[in-house]
Amino acid sequence: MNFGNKSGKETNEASSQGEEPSLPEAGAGGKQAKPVRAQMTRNDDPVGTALRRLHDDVIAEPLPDDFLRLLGDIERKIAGQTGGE
Amino acid sequence: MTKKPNRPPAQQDKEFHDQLVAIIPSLRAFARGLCGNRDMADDMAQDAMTRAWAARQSYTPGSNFRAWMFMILRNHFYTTLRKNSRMASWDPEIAERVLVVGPAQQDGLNVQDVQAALQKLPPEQREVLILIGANGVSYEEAAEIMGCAIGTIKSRLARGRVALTALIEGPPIGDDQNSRKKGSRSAAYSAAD
Repeated sequence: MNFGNKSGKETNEASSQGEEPSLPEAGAGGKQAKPVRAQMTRNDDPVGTALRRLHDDVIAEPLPDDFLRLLGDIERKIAGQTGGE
Repeated sequence: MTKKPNRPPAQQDKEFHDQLVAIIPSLRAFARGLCGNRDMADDMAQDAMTRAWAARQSYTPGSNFRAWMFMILRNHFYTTLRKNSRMASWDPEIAERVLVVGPAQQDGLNVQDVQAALQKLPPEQREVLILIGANGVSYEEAAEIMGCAIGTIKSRLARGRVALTALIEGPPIGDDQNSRKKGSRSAAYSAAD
């Protein structure tokens, strides 16, 4: 499982071994770490794949106009500030 | 923490603006995962941006902007959650219907099923799955964003994954409708304890 990036510190609350943290499989107790994201394929972790696809789908959406308007408001404030100085 | 400037000049505001622009897609994705609803999530992301802009003097240039923004967003989310019960969860009946639509697709799980299942998880498990599983943030950054220990992050992640998998996969084929729902829920919630 490859949820998460490289992590440093370890605590006693979760099961994990070694330098590279990994999300334990259900019931596996975290006994085996699969460190690299590239090792994971769709077949290995359909849940992880679906979560990333959820994220990627939103990232790929065009920016809604509301956001552009908000950014425009901010840009005008900056421009006004610059002009006033 | 480094010493903050008394008042950011226009150039610092411009840099702050540029960081805001860059963070929008990730912010929207985080909000969508938390809310499970596009419009509500976008409103929340815009509110977070407005709040961040208003509080930009409290941001330390060079520090982790994403973590700072995500903290603002999640604080806003939980504040709104407390005020507005309709955000406590996505409509569970809708989620239930979505979840029983069909088995996983050939090319992976149905993303809508996963989104629906996420909304049935306790928020703290949902957000750690979104942050780490979907957004790809590190354990350290997730701990910073959520204001808890890395060990807590790991245990929430493990529990959340078990619960999410139970919700998505459900009980074995052949169970009747009632026992299917009951079994699925009890498995998920016992895993979520």
